[in-house]
Amino acid sequence: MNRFNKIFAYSSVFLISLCLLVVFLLAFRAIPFGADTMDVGHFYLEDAAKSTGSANIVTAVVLGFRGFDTLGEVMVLFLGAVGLGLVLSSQKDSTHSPAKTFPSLILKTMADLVFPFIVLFGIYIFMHGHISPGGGFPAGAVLASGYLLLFLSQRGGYHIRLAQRVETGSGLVFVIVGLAGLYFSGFFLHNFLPVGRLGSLYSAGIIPVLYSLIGIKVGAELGGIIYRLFGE
Amino acid sequence: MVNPLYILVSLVFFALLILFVQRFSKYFALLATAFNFYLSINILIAALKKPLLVNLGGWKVPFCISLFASPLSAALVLLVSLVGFCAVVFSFSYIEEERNRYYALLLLLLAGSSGVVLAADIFNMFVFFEILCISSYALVAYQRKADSFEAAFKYLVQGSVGSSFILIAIAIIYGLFGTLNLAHIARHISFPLTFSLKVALALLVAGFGVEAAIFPFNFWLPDAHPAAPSPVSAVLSGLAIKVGLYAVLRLIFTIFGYPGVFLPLLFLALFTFVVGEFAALAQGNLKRMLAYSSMGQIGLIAAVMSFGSVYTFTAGFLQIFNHALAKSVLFLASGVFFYQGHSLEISDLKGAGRKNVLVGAAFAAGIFSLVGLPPFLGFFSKLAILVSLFRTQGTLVLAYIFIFLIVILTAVEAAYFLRVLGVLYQKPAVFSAASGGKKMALMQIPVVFLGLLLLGLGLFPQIVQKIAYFAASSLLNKAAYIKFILG
Amino acid sequence: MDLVRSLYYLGAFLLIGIGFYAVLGKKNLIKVIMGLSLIDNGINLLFIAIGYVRHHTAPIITSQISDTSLMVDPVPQALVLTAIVIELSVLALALALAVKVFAVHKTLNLNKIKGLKW
Repeated sequence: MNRFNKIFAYSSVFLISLCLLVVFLLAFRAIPFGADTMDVGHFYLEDAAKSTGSANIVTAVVLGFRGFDTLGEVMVLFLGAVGLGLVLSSQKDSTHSPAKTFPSLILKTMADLVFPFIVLFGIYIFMHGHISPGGGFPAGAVLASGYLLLFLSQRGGYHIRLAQRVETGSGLVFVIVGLAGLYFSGFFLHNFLPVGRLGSLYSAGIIPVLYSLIGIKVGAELGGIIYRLFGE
Repeated sequence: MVNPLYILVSLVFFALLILFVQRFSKYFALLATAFNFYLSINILIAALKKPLLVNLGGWKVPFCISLFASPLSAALVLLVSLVGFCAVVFSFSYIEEERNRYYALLLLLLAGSSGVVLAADIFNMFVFFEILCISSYALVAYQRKADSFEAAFKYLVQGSVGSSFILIAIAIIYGLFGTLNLAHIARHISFPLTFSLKVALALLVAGFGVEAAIFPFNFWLPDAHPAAPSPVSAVLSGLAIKVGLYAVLRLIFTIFGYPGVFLPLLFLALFTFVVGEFAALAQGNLKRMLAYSSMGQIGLIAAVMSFGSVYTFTAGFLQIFNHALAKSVLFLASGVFFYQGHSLEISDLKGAGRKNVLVGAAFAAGIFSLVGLPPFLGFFSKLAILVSLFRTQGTLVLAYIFIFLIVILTAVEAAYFLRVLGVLYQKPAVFSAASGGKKMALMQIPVVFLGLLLLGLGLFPQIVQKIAYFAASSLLNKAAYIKFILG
Repeated sequence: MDLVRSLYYLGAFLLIGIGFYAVLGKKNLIKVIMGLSLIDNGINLLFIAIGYVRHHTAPIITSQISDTSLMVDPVPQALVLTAIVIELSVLALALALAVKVFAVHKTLNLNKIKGLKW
């Protein structure tokens, strides 16, 4: 592509992006920053504590009021992992070249020391999803970062088959819990466990159960993704 | 038991189960799609009497996520489960590697399609739309050859940008109205549309239009549909683009209620129609030709729908059913030919119709139905299109131009399709019918079944016509939609 | 237009715009994927900015904060949670495809890969 074509191409793309920017800014003039435009939001804020028992209202929305979206989201992540597994699974060309660097002694020692704390932290996050910020998804990411540390230090010992069972198993239990809600109360993903005292660990019905499942599932899933990308 | 929720939950459950147990994947998939087919028939019968509304989680509308099975949604769910079932049966013999992942992805593709169609909440629609898109990106790459990876990547980038547009539109809508329930949003929207809402609508049409393959968002289609394995191509051409179009139509007509989008939509759709059909004429690869034909047909359907009357909608839905069934037949049949002859170039298919009598006949049925010859379903759908266009009021000039284009492009379709048919039945049969036996029988069953269905529905079109009419009414009636859901 | 107040919107749109420019204009496959990631981040920021209500606080009931009428909108935060996960999946799949495209073509330059031209 000669110089003139290049300038033309880049500047037209730049202009398109600029136009988009301007259009969006104009469109959002109708939504003043900081104004209260809530409609269903008010209901969720007032009702969350009472009907779901979760002190973290975002959790109440994610796993209570809009639980079905979360099921879809869990499925999307599952799809990403399965799709990645499918794409990377051809044996024809080996894209995996053996590691050219070896982990230093510091990395290996600290990885062994730090890993249990990372896992503990991850478990803490998903267990307290209904009391403090966090929940299953960040917890899964933290768990996976622990696994990543293991891979980086070439510790080995990650059982991909077990991870896959855990991943799909927790997904199945999630669906079963939802169906149980259907059975006991007539609505899918309805809260059928006792709501408990607001702010205590044993509260919010099925929400900590669901978040625990999600945390384990996401951790296993992301770990599997990292495992496959490392080309083991 | 007649609850649209079970369609989604069963597909999701079995997809997870397949990868948990890692065995019997074919049979689980078959069970799931058979169950869904049976369920969707019941749901359609119920929805035709009174639409079904399911509020998930036990909260009241609009504070919950709802599933709404209108006659339109129920009819599309039936189509999804039918084509899905045929694709699974076909895949029994056709798909030999990575079965677990393949069937899980396929089931989730069907789940995503059904979810979009049943959704009554805009973000839920987006989540299921993403399920549909991501599973299709992965399935396009299934064959893991160079062209599969490239086609999948191109598709992914375009689809991802489209999804981003949808998200921005959701942000606009939520920022304006504070709710995500489609009926609640519809209640808030009144005329004239503000600038923000126009931007939101444009973004939604663009975003869902990527999946619906409307120009200029369809550059991924000619590479992606051929690169996928044949049953997946059938599902993509037959179902996925229809679901994208459904989302566009539902948003424009029922939620926004904005017939003013007519001219731009018509223009884009006509352009898609013309480009698709002429490009199909120039193809030497069978699946690529079918892919461009799908592009053209979606352009035709979208153009018909844009006129906005009950009659044009009914005709458009008839054509949706026709194209979904016929294109599936053609793609599955091409799969049979590929399985035997290992080539998809049309010139290599000489005499294939003679060696495979049943598949050849079904292929012919599909072609005749798409072109619009009696006694197949396509005849009635094309006839309905032409009649409904004659009956439009107020846009006669455009309607006549459109009719003229349809006539010309039908001739073009006939040209390239009948050319293939001629090659199939050519005398010096170069085609080698390699393997036979049980595998071939299993692959032939869905092909022949769909071909017979096209014939049967053509001989007795009343059922489909009635369903299409109810579907069209439910799409157009914004007030009834709001009243039914919100009360 | 009070620019200061809409700074968050401006930032979000800048991210989206830069990402969009990267997707359309960049030649390297990985940069295109990074562009997708930028778009996603911009959109997430946009959602959070929409949910903000002036002088209100995070929607978590603690022993010190229990007045729910002074809390920010929880719904966009829930939507962002879902959106992040969805975009993560797409990115993972995109990277896997990029790995394979590189393995086949030994280059990440879009101009050199015939199949990827628009």
